Amino acid sequence: MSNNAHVKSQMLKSTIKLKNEMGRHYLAIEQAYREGKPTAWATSGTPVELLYAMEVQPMLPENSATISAATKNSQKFIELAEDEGFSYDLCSYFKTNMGTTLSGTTDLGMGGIKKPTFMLSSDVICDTHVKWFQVQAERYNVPHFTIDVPHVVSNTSNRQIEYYKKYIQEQLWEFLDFVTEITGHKLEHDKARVVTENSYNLGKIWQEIFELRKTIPSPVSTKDTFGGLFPLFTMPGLKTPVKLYQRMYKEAKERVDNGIGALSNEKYRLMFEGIPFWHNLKYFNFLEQFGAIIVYEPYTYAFSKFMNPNITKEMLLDNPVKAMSEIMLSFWYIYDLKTRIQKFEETVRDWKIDGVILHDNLSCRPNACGLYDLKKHLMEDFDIPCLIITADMNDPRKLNTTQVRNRIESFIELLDRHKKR
Amino acid sequence: MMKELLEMSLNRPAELSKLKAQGTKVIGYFAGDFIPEEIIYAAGAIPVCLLYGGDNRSVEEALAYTTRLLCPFSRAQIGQRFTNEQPYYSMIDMVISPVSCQHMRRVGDIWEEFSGIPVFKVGVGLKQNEIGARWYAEALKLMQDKVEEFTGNKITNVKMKEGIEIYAKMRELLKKISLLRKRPTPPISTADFVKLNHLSYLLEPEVMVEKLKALHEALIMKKEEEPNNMPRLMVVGPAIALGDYRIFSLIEDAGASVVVENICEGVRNYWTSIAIDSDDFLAALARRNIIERPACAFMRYSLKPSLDNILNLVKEFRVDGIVYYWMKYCETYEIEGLYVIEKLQDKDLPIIFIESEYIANEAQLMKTKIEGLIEIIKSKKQKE
Repeated sequence: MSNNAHVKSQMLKSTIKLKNEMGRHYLAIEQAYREGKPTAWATSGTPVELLYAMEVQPMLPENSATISAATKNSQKFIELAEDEGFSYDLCSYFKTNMGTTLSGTTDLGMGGIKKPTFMLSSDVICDTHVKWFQVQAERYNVPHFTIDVPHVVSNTSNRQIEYYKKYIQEQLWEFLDFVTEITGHKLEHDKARVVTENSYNLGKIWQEIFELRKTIPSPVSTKDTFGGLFPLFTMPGLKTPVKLYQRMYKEAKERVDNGIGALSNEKYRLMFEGIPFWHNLKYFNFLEQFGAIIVYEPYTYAFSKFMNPNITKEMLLDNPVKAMSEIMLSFWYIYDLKTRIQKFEETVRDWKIDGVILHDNLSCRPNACGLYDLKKHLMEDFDIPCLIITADMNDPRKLNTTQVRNRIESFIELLDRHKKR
Repeated sequence: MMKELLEMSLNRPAELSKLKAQGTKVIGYFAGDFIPEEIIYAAGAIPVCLLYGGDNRSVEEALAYTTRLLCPFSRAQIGQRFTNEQPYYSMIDMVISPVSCQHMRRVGDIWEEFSGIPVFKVGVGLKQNEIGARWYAEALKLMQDKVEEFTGNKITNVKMKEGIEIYAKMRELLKKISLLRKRPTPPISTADFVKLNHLSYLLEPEVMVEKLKALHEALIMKKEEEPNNMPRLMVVGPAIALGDYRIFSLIEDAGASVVVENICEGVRNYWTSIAIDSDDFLAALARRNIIERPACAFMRYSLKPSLDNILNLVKEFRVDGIVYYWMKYCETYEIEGLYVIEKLQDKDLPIIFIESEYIANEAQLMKTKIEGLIEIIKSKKQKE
């Protein structure tokens, strides 16, 4: 097993422009406040496109929380929330957001967030989202709408699925009335077409970038995808992020055509399941000195949304609300274990994965629950080495860097033996 | 009476084995009151609620199958299947699992993966309104189809009505007994009352109705005792498992009386009745379970209704203080609990937050907190 401490993966040049793109998003938020335009907090997994289509500026507290983590502010916000009584084990995004509220931090650069006109949540990812916005809507005294999304389980019949779609659609129409009542804005079909088309294009290019990652060596590393995913959930519906992703794709394609990998000595191809540690993204560089590169993350892929082949561009343009209801039912996080295992099996095969790192995320139930079964299946049924590491997406106190480092080193040795075998 | 019922519950598994041998299906389901026993009953099968817990062994056993982040109640429902301590968990022919909170969802997944028996999952509309109830009724239709297929018995309107009536009668009697605790000195302890609720999920409903009737009459006849002047407490929480009675004994040992329980196997189950105005029984069950029943914390807009419900019970049962009993890792009850605490501070109603992971050494901390609460209530009363 070689160890090249100096080896680093090359980020795409276009990814560097991501900063500008996100900067544009924050400027739009500031401008909305200056101009008195309606704003909304939204949880990830909600149809943010509808907000854009109705001229409401979205803000995603989870995105703000990751900024707090990246700027090393999340811990103090989390501890503030814990001082209020919220437990050590509760979602660290929630606590970061609560901490910014309690401290009155509105500086977007620190992950602060301002009082919105209303809030939109959904349980498509987790129950905490809904409860989080319930208490925050109370605290800020603003209206709150939540979309209840049925969770697709293994015995879900087609009849049920059809009913689920209607159930979500009915709620989405209700939501549009809710927005109109508060803001006076109506959903204009032409505007909705433009927004959903942009969102579709954004998701599809992201998927194409992932397709390129099937190539050996992979042209793209997590340096591009972990940060690169933010436009998918903060700006789906806008034109400019589409351009950014097109540039990323073009550059990655050039690498593929020229046999250039993001990592010069790619040896082990890994999958990373879970939310990364936003407070210590550089930690992932550690893998590279062993020639290991992450080529697929279900988390970053999931936000490309348009994975359901039933959702065509035509359908989206004709009936955006109907399409949005289908999308909400196709989201990775509502799948049960059996479906997840099947998806993992396909991914391991298609992306030629040598090993899987599973993040036992101490504050995210949907992420963490099921990891042991996944690991068992991947190891026993598909003979794929797996490693479970315990940490937290936003709380730096829960990452024991030395311990995780030791475990990764052992895992690499295992991968090495496995490959030789 | 309690002794008699407890003995009956001990003999129940043997009874069920005999019925199984004669071809009757025993269908398990998970707690939370989203799986109507009425449907299973109407199909001629025997419903058995899986709701044991409180011991650490089953919770730890579950760690072979899932992470620690599942609440202990949910983990107990996994661990019990593998520890073989409670016969119900191994004798059921099929299990029905609600797709409700993210913890119980996971329990269904794991049973599907490891139990080796059929698992059927029922989606639960989590909005307490008409559309939530409508789609839950659809899910109940699928459950009905499945139960009919599994038992080979067609569910008729007559049988369904019979099932709904017997369970409604049982809940009505539980409520009547519950209301007797409004007396200055409750004629039945809440620990015993919660046990009664638990037994109602396991014993034959006809027998249970008969026994509850007799108990209610006996309690009415019981001479009212002199007011004991003990602080009157309410326990609020999610599901409290059969076997998890420590919280009640700690409170009683500390010199207070629990006069009402706002939990799934308590108020949330028996407080509202079912209205049947047509043959659409599934719609009636759906309305009751989704719209009319006091909300669980994972329901989508539960915050204010839950607070109102707590305040209503405080008034009705003249509650002096609240113990908010929370299962560790249950995020919805935690967030809602802290909201309730904040709101009750304005109302000068003492409240404590107690978490449990079914671990023995938690008791000391629980005891200290409970004693503190009682002291606060007593000094408040002295000032009055």
